[in-house]
Amino acid sequence: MRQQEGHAQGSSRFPETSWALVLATRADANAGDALNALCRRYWPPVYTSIRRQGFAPADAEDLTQAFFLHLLEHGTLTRADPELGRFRSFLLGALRWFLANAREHENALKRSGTRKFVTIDAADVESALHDDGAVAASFEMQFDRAWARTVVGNALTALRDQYAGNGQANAWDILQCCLDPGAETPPYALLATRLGSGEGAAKVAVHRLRKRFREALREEVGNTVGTARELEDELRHLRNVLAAQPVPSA
Amino acid sequence: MNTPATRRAVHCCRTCGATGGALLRNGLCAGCLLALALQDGEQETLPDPAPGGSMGRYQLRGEIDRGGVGIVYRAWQSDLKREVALKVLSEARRDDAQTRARFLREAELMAGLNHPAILPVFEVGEQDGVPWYAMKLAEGGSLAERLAMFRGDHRGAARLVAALARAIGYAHRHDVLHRDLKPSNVVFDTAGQAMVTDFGLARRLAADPSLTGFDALIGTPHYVAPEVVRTPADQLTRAVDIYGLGAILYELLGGQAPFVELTPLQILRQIGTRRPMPLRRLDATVPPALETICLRCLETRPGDRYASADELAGALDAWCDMADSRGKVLPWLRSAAALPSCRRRLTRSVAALAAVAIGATVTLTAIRRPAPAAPPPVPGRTVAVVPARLQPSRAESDAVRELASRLRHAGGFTVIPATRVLARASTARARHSSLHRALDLGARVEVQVLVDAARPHAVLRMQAIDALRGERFWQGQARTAEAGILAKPLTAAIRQRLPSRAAVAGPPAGAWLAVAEGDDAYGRLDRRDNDVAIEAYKRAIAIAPTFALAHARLASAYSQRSNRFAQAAYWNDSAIEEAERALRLDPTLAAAENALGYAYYNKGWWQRSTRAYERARELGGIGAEANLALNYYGIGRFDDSFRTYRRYLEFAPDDGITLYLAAQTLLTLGATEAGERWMHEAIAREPDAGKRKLMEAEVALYRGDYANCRALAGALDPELTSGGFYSAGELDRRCAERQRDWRAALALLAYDKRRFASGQGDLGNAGPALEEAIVLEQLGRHAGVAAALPAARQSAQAGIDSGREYPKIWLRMAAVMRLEGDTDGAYRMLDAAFAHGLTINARNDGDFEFLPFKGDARFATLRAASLARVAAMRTRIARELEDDAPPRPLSL
Repeated sequence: MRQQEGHAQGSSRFPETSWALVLATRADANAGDALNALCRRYWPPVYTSIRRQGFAPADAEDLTQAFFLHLLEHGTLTRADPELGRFRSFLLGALRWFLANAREHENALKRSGTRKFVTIDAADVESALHDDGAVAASFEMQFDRAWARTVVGNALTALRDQYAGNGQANAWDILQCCLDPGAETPPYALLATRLGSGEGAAKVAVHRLRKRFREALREEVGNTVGTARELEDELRHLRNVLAAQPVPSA
Repeated sequence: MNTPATRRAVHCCRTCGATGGALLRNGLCAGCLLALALQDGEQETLPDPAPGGSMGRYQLRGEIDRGGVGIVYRAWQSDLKREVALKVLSEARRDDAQTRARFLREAELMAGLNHPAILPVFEVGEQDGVPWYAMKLAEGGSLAERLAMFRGDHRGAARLVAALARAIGYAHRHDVLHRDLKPSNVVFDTAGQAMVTDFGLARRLAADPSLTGFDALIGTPHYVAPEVVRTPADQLTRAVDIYGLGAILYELLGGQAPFVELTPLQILRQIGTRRPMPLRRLDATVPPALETICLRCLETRPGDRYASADELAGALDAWCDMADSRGKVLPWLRSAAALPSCRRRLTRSVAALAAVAIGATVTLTAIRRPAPAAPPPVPGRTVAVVPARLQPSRAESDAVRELASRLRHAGGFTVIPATRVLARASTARARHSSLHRALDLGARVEVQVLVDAARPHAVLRMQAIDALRGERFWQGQARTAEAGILAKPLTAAIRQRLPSRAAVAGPPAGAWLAVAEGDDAYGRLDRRDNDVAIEAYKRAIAIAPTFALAHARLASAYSQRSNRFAQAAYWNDSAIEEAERALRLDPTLAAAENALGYAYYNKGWWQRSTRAYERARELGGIGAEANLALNYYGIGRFDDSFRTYRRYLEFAPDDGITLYLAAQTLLTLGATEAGERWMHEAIAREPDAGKRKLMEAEVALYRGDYANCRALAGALDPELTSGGFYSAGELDRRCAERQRDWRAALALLAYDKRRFASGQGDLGNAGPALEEAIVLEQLGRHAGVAAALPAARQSAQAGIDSGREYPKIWLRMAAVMRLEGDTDGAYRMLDAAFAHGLTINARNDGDFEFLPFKGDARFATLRAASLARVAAMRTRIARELEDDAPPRPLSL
């Protein structure tokens, strides 16, 4: 974890690992910030699961906000411990409990209406929900599927921002379709023309893009687990839940 | 192969089998992307221009680390059958011939160093224009990760640093300076042997062109000797490394780097003796002798430190021997074999860091180790969100946090954490320039936030300031509830303003520091500090002769000297010269136009001054508005003055003085109701009781309640002033004149005459002779008038000869001429006065200067016309006044 316990070096960076964020919610000054960041990152799987329970979109939105608010207010996050495993599992467990006591949270519904943590852009998630209609069955399964989508999406966003920050937003737009090794990519000659560079450079750019994405996704998922071995397991697990048939482990 | 269209329809990825919602909106398959993440790195190929996966005889196996200067790979050396770390200069730096040459030269230097505690470099090469070098793979991680292990282990720490010192001493004997010693530059192999690495290869503050200038001053220079910023790279001495060793020892013993409680600016500015927090406060068990050794390494002056690394090693060894002989047995550095088993598994299975200290832009996956020191932010692209008020309200603190979070999320630049910003002492802010704040927080861009809760719907205002230049480049406001809409345009504006990576950062760090020191002194508004400020700005110019900002500041300091400390007027000319020089160097520098405006103002060229301040305002100059508003007032443009004050106060609601000036403007316009409201708000904020009374006296003057005014003002020290309007004595006198109490006026004048005769008078008033003559004339004492007139004329003439252009100069001469009987001449002067902005208004109607003209029909016409003009100005701002309350302080 990047959080430096015992070393007051005055890290000037806001903690980015999810567990660090969780810990940051304990510290009053950072609590709002950290909670907002957590919500922003992980609301889709929460929202999806709630929708699957039969709630309408507007109610699901409110309940999602209420859930995160509940985590903060009841100090649930203070009981979180990275030693105990993955953040995804933790959140899943907390959500299960929250929904089981949904009636008690109806008040939270009303209250949270006045304080939005994050604008929920549900369109994307809704369409995934629709697509997933026939596939996943269990509560856990579709939470994990939504989680997988979310972390991949977060990694893409992070990478896109990296490119934008380097003044390479244009290159990103052109190249992002090549990210997927399984997809058919445009011929390098065409990419080269669009990028305004040679073919060799285009190849390198694509290669570099994939490599960076890999790093970004590994970082994104890595932030939610405690050890390196867990990272590999988690990646494999997420890939498995997305597949119609499980992929044999390496 | 799937095309996106095909996949959408089928909802099943043929490549990885993912179904349904696994397909992302942009057509990418989440499943395939996860598969990409699972791939082993064996097929890594190098980016252009190296072909294949090899460098020389090394087979690249995987990427270990990536940073600003280079990328480190794990590589396989087939002939010797061993794994090594291979560092390659990253593409971003390859185009810079200087960086490349340095990379290679220093790799060769390191290769020539053969010492057990220096990470060996095996080979240096270049392939297809890509410089690289191969070194030992340090599986044990860096010292930065092991710091916790040394808590309480004083002997272990001492032995470690002694070993490092011997290595450094060896390097020094071979004329190699490290220059960047810190815990992340000390690595361990599997046997637990500590080694120093990255000699001069990581960023060096003074030498690396991408880190000169302002950027060198942000980040965490806790391990950097203070002289590094001021000294050219080739003049640094071994003492720099001694400091680094001391900093490492300090952190091992105390658990934190030295001077963490200081801002980067404070650390680098250490002049004279500066002691870090005593180690015994961090850990009471630290032996005093060891602490002494440590502190000697951290002496501010290089000459006070140990003369050589070997001397330091000797001192540490001697201490250890002494501690040994006392029978303490403490463990030496634990080898990897003795590590808890999970760590052992990790160190083998996870890609080891070859621990070169480079700031990673993409960090490694989080693993269960204490994290290395946070890499410095991307140079130059730093933003801080700050509250505009010195003591922000709850809503403002929240807004600061929220905005900081949003900006961070938007990405593309580093945002200083809101907690750090909010914790900074607010009192310091009022005095300091934006440059100072920038260095203090480490932010190039400052976004000021203010919540105006006085309106029915609370309004959030933001302005984004280029902190180095002191120029506002964006501003916006919205209702607090809808404030989110401002985030996007703000982000876009910031991105556009921040320099791209490749941009050269400008003048050297030393010059920036000197300007900041100057600003510090300038802000104290003291005579001796003015000297300090001028010296500091000159120093900045000596370091960087084309540094426009330094010239502009010097100009302001000269003007300050003339304006506040009543020095000879030639300082104004020097100020103009420097300001014009600054503008030649940088025609868009607001600070230069501001300085020019100040200089012209001092010279009395108020029209020119106004134009300069207007240009400064257009360029976004912070603080130009307050000066401009005052100028507008002086040349009779009261409506412009008031509007400008209001604009300024939108972001400076705590500025009581400006509030007072704005109130005066309203009252002068005759907007009595609003003016009194604002004035009472200003009075409420004035801490000094005497000044409060004076301000109340002013209100009485406007009301025509002369008796009350005299009562209030008469009780005060006659020389007490507030905001540059009348002094108490002057108020008293003028009210007496309005009451036609000439005797009283004469008596009060006598006091002024004495002061003026002894040279203490305000030269701008040109002496009391005119006033005396006018009062005597009212009394009918013509002999006295004749006696006083020559002196009156003399001082009026001096005013005209001075070249100053403010209205009263001509008004006085007009009055003199009228008294002399030269009516035509007098009205010519009067016309000139009106042309330069004289008005007859609620403040001055009835002042003694107009008395000679009373009874003239001609004057009556002029007066009526002027009053009408002022009334028109009042009407123009009336609408703005309707829904306007004066800026309120927060109710606490």
